[in-house]
Amino acid sequence: MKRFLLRVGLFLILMPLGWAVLFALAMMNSGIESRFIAQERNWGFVNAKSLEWAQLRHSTPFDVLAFGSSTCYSGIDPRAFEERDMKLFNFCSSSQSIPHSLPLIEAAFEDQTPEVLLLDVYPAIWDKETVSSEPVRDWIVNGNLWDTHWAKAYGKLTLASHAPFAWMIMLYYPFRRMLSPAGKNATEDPNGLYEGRGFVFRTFPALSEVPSDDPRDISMSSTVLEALIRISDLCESRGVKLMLINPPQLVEEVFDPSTVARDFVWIDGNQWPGAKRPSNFYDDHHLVGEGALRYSEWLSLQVTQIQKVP
Amino acid sequence: MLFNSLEFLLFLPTVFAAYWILNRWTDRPRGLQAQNFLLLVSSYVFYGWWDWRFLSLIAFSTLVDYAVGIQIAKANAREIPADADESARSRTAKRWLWVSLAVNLGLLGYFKYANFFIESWVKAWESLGVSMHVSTLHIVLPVGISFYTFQTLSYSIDIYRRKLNPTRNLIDFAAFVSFFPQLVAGPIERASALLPQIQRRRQFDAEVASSGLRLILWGLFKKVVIADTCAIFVNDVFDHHHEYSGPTLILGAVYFAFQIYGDFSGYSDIAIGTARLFGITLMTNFRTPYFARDIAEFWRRWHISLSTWFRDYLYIPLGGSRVGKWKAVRNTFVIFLVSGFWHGANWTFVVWGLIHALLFLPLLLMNRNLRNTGEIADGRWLPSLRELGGMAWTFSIVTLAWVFFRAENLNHALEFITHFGNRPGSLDKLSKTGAFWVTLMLCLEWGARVPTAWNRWRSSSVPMTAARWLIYALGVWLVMKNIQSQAEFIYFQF
Repeated sequence: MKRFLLRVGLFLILMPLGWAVLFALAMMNSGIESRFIAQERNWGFVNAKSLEWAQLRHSTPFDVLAFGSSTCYSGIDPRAFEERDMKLFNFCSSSQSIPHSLPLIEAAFEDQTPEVLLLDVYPAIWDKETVSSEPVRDWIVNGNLWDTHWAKAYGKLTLASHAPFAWMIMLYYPFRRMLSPAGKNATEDPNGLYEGRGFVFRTFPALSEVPSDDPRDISMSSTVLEALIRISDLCESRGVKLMLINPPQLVEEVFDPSTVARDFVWIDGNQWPGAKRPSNFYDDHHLVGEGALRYSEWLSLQVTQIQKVP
Repeated sequence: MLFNSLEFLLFLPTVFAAYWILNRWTDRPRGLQAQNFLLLVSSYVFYGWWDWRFLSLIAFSTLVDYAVGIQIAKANAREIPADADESARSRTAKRWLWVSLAVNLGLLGYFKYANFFIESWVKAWESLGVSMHVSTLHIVLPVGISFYTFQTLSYSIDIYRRKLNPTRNLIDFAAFVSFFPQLVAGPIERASALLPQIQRRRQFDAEVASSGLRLILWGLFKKVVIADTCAIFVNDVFDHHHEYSGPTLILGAVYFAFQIYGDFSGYSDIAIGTARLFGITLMTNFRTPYFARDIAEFWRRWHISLSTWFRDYLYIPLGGSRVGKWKAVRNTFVIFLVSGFWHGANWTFVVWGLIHALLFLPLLLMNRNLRNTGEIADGRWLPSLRELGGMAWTFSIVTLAWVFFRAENLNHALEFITHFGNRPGSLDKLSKTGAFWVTLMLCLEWGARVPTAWNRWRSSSVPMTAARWLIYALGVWLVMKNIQSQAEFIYFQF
């Protein structure tokens, strides 16, 4: 038994050495990296937005920071906000739910404190009790922000997701990003153009009719609610106005706002006049580029009006 | 609890440590009992993690066969003279055996087949123009019921046949029925093989335990790297078969062949490897089935614990192949159809079994079913052209039959296969990653067949050990990389 445990122990100690060999090979060869570590991708352009934030965070003060999922990175266009003299940076990424946003918001607030925090909360991803690993991997693999506070945010995300592999790639990417930024080996996103400030312009063809989809009745999970309350507390302590946005949906997800019965400021994207026009969407809840600009013009007006309220 | 879950990663070392600590006292009275009790509790925790309510089913099945086993043995002792030959049977024992069969097959029938029979009954009447309004039952299929039911049945049947003495120790018997490594998806162990191992003191063997860890890693690799990678391609092609060309559909079927092999043989490897950590040997369930040169050899290599179960408890009692041609034909159909039906309550599985029966039959009738019993390309690196042809043909027909196994219903399967030929075109998509891992697996399995290569691989020289450990480290990495969604094993549904 002793011999067996010794061998297993020795293997566990030496195993990271084997991984180090793999890391070294992966750093030299993108094929090995994509097959054995992870494939970089442009879907959501976390690489480009994190690089841009790294360049702007100390020179450009932003009035509004936006966090949320894909409805947000392809739905909230900073150009519409700039027309109302508001600088917005969009931190949204694929499947980023409220528990994912929390550590990212904490890290972003370390860089600068905005006046408004927009939290795009697409109800369809509200009901999950677990924190999915996809957005965690997205930020670790494609992120270009590796300062201590951002690395800490990824660490928190990793712990919350219970995804062992996310823990393991946390050993690789801090070193990898010292050599070259994320984005060089990323797979193309043929239907997305990075327009700056975190916004992705979707070039999918617009819908001609409302797709058939059964509306879903969704209630918020306790994990999501807890994260939302923590974000709210953080905003309060920093003097940031938190606004929750239900993004426009052609087929609305039915949710019960009473489950989050705090004094949150709500903006219901479904009140936007274009919310039920198929030509603004490429599927039942994602906006095409032109639709996003129109929606963002309306949204920026709502934000301005809410801000005026003392 | 899934083998490919974090919970199991914590569960296994905990049980392993407690088990071998208890082993120190197994030479004392009740020491072995304590160790077996630990096995039993661990197995119930392992199963209850999925749904604790169904533990009552396992417990009920255990109690019934425990009592029936004792009653059968008593009846045998009472009614059969000591000098009677092996074929002598007791009538009372037979009645008790029927109790076991009725309870076990009754539970299996209710939980697995009730809805199927109700729906088929309604459809049959509807096809005659009589509409019926019968609602189906909301029955959840308890994971692994087909496996542990067969395991307990083998116990009662073996006692009835006087090949096994019943155990009077309920804990030992319950630990045998619920032994967690093989509880939910086999291998289906015989009481005569597993129960004596549970009843005697186990010795820790470092070499056996190390081989167990290697097997666990290999099984996880086959499941999470190969099967789950293939599954992405397979699910897309089967779900949207109208959108793809014939060659893409064929590739989808080929990938499914490797998905189900990786999934099920991976599970078996993890089960066998885990059992080795506890000093228990389980039977081999797969022996590189896709290298089989004919369909009979395929069935000697695929899901061995089930096919031998059917052989011993169904085929041979029916007379096997020694009862004249027509009865042998009948028996072949019975065993393959029942085997198909065992996999699931769907006509697709029955047709899958029927196809295999039709493929097997010519070999049986020409007495060629035992032609390929030796090792493939024995002592050679490469197969002969004849062997290669046999392997390619067998793999092709097995893959074709897998379409029925994977399809949602018969229409789906028939449409899928029809599109093989009437949808010409090039490949719409190809999972290069899947192809890479499948090729690697086939190369490794082919290489492992050659003893010289295997011995060289296991050499204890420092460079070879370092190379081996490097590969194991890479294997652990790949498993962790792919172990994201905790995809369930396909055979859990059976």
